[in-house]
Amino acid sequence: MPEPVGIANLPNQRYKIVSKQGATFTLMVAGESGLGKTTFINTLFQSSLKAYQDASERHNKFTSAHQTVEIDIVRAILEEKNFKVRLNIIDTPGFGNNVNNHDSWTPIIDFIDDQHESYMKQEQQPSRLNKKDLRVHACLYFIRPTGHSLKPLDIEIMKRLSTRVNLIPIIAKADTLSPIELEAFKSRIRDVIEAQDINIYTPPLELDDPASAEHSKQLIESMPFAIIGSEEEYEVAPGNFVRGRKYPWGLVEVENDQHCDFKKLRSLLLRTNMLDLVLSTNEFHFETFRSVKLGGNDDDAGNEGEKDEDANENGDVVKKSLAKKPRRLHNPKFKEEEDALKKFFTEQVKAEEQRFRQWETNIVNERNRLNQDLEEMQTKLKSLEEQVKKLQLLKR
Amino acid sequence: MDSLYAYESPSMSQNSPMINYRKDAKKGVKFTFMVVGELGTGKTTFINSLLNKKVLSHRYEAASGHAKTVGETKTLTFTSAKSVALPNTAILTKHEFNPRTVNEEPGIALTETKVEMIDDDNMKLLLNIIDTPGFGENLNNELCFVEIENYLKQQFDLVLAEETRIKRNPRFVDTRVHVLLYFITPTGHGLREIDIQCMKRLSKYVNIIPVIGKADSFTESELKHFKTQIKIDIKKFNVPIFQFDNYLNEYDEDEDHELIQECKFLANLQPFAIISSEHEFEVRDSRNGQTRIIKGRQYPWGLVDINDPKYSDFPILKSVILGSHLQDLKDLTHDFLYETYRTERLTKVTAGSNGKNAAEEEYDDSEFHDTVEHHQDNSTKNSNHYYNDTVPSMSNLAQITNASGSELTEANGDDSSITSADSSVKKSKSMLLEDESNEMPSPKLKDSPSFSSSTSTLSLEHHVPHTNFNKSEYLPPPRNLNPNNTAFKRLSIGPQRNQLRQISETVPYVIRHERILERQQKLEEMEMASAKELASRAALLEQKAAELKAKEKSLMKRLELERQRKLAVESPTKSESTVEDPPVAEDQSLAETESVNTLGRAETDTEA
Repeated sequence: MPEPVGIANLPNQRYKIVSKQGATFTLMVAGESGLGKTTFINTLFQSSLKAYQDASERHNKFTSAHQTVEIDIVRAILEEKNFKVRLNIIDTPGFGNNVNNHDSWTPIIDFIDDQHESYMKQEQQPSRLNKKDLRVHACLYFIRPTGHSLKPLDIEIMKRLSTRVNLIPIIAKADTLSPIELEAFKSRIRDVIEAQDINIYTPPLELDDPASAEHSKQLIESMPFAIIGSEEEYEVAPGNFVRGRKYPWGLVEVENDQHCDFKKLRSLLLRTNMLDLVLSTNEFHFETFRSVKLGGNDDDAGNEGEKDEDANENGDVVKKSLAKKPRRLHNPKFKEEEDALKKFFTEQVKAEEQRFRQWETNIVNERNRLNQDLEEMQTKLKSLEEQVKKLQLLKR
Repeated sequence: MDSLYAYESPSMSQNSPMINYRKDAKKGVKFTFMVVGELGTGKTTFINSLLNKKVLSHRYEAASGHAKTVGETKTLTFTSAKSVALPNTAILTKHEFNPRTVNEEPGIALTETKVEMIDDDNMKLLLNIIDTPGFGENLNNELCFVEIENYLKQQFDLVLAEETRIKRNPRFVDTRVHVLLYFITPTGHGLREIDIQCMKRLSKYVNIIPVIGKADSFTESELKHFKTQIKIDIKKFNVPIFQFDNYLNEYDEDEDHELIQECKFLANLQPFAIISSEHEFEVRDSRNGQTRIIKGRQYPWGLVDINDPKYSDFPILKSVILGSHLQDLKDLTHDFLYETYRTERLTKVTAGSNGKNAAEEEYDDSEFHDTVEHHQDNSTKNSNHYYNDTVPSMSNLAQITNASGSELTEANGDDSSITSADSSVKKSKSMLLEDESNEMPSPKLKDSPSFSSSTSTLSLEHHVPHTNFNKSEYLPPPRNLNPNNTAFKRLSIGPQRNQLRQISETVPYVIRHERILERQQKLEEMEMASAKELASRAALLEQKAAELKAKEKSLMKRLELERQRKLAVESPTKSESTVEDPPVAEDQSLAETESVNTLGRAETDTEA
C-alpha cells in the first residue's frame, strides 16, 4: 500500500494558519433604543463588552430631547481555547428616538456603504497587506415586541439594509409575549418580510449533510428569532447557575429553548454559520457593491429598487440610462438644519440692519435738531448783537 | 363592580354627597378618557381589562364577538401621513392584516367608543373612550399631536360656543376629554422625544396621567430604575402631568388624613406601571386549596396576576380613574383647563373681531361683574322684601333716584317718611327679620362706593347718626341706597348688556368660522398634496410609456433586421429576380400591423 501523497493534509495546514491568525467578525446591532441591544451583546459573548449608556451622561449630553443617530464602534478580542476572534461591534444609538424619523436610517446605511467603499479603495492600493476591514458581516435588526406587526420605519430600514448586509431580524424582549402571541407575531412578520421583498439572511441548506440541513431548516423555521437578554445569573439547582431574568412570577431562562430562541441565534451567529456570514458578505454584498460602483452597470436587481425609490423620493424623474446612483453626500436631515440655520441667520442680520437703520435715522434726526438749535441760537445771537448795536447806537 | 366603591370615598363627599349621589345615580356619570401611546403598548388590552369585557377589538382581529357596547366604535377624524386621500387611511379602522400595505404610513385616526357600566349600587357610568390608533407609527409623527391637539381644542370650542349662546341646546353633550392616559413605551431608558413633546403639547387641554405600558417586561429593580428615570425626565423637561398632591394644602390635616396619605402615595407611585390582560386563569391557592379566577398572563415561566399590587399598579389606576379621582379629573378639566383656554380664546376672538376691540376685550371682566350684579340684584330685592311689600319697579326707581339726585336731603327725608310709614306697618312682622336684615346692608355699604358715586356716600353720612337713635329709622338708608345702587348699576350695565348680547351672538359664530377656515385650509393643503402626488404618478406613467415605446422601436428594428436576414438567407434559394419584391412588401405590412398591435398593448399596459 503506497503512502498517501499528503494532499489530504491541506485542511490541517489551513486549520493551523487560521487558528494562528484568528478571525475577524463584525456585527451590527440596529433598532430603536430600549430594546436590549447592549444587553444582548453582553449576553451573546458572555462578558460586558459594552457599557450601558450612563443615565447622567444622557442627561448632560442631550440638552434637548431631540437626538441624532450615531455610530458607535466597540472593538474587542475574544479568546476561547487559544483561538482569537477580533470582534467589532457596531451600535446605532438614537435610532427611532425622534418625532420625525425620516432619513434617520441614512447614517447607518451610509456607514455600511462607506466600509465597502474604503475596503474597495484599499484593495486597489499598490500595497494592500494591512487592510482595515470594517465591513459588516451580520446585522441584527431588533424589532419591538408590539404583538402587532412591523412599523413603516422598520420596513424602510430593513429594505435598505437587506440589500447591503446579511440581515437577521430578531424580536427583542420576547418575554413580554406569551407563546400564542409570539407565534402570531412571528407569522405576521414573516408575511410582511415576504410581501415587502426583504431579503433576510437564510443559512445555506447543505443537502449532502442531513444533520446540518436539518439544523438549518430549524433555524429558518424559527426566524425571526425571539430573544431575551440578561447578564444576571441565578441558581436554579444547587451549583447550577443559569442566565435569566428574575420576575416576581418566575424565572426566564435565556438558554432555554422553551423560553426563547437565544441558543438558535447564537448557533447561527457563532457556532455554525459565522464563516458563511463572512464569506457571503465578501462574495455577495461586497461584490454587488463593487460591480455597481465600478461598472456602473445597473442591470443589477438589487440596485434597481433603490433607484426607483430615489426617483420617487425626489419626485423628479431620473433617466435610467444616466442613473449611476448618485451617492447621497449629505444627510437630508443636516440639509434641513442648515436651511433653518441660514434662515435664522438672515433674519438676524435683517433685524440687526433694521436696528442700525433705526439708529441712523435717529442720529440724523438728532443732528438736524441740533443744527436747528444751533441756527436758532445763531439767529438769537444775531438779534442780540443787533440789539447791542442798537443800544450802543442809542448810547451814542 | 368593585372599582366603583370609591363613590363614597372622601374626595367625593366634599360637596353635599347625598344629593349629588342621587342625581348622579339617576342620570349616570359621564366620563371621557383618551388613551394615547405607541402601538403595542397595550392600550386596547388595558381598556378591555379595565372594563372587564371586550370593548375594543385588537388591531388585526376581526371585529366580531364584541360584547354589548353602547353604539359602535366610530371614527371621529383621521389624517393620513402624506395628507393625501389614499386608501391607506382605512388601515387603521379596518381590522385586517395586509402584509403588502404595512409599509405605508398609516396616519392617525381618533375613534370613539361609548360604554355604559352599572355597578352594584345601580350607579350608572357612561364612559366615552377615545382611542388613537396610528400614534407613533408614522415616520414623522408630528401630525399625530397636531391631530389630537386639534380634536381636544375643538371639544373646548364646542362647549365655549354653547356657553355663550343665548338659547342653549338642552341636549348638548359635553365631549371634553377629562383624562388622557399616556402609555410610555417600556424602553428602560426614560422618556423619548415623542413622549415629551406629546405630553407637553396636550397638557394645555387635558389632564395627563402617564402610565408605563407592558410593565411585565421589567424586573423589580429595572422598573424602579425606569420610574426614577421618567421622573427625572419629567422634571427636567418640565412635562406638566396630573399632580395628585397638588391640592393637598386645601385639605384639613386632621380630618382628611387618610386622603392626604392616599394622594401622597399616588403621587409617589406615579407613573403607574400597568400589566393588563383579557384572559382569565384559575389558580389554586396553595394554602387553603381554594381555587379562584384571576386575570393574568400565562408564560412558560409563570403566571402574572394583573391585580397583584406587588408588581402591577393596574388595580390602583383603575380605582383612581373610575373612582376616587373621577370627579377631581372632571372638575379640574372644567375649572382649570377649560377656564384657561376660554380666557385665552375669548381674548383672542374678541380682539380679532374688528371694530369694538377695546370694549369687548373686557368681556371676561364684564361677565364676571354681571354675575356678581345679578347676585346683588337678587339680594337687594330680597332685602327690599323685608322692608317693603311693594317691590320697587323700574319707574319707581327712576323717580327715586332722580329725586335723590336733585335734592339729596329732601329726597332722603321723603323716602324715610314713606318707608317709615310702611315699615311701621310691617314692623310687627319684620321685627324678627330685622336682625338679619341689619346684617344684610352692611356688606352693601362696603360695596356701594365702588358702584355709586359720591351721592351714596353723602347719604351715608347723612343717615349714620340716625341709626344710633332708632332702629326703624335705620331702615330707610339701605333702602335708599339700594335703589341708588341698582339704578347706577343698571345705567352702567346698559351698554354692557348690549355687548354681552353681541358677544353671545358673535362668539359661537366666530369660533365656528375659524374652525371652518382651518378645515378649509387643511383641505386645500390635502388637495395640493394629492395633486402633487398625482402629477408625480402621471410623470412616472409617462416615463414608463416612453420606455415601452422605445422598447417597441428597438424590437421592431430587430424584427426588421431579422426579416431582412431571413430574406437574405431565403433569397438565394429562391429564383432570383422577379419574385423578390412582393414578399418584402407583404412582410413590411405584416410588421406594421404587428407593431400597431404591440403598441396598442403597450398603451393598455401603461394605462393599467
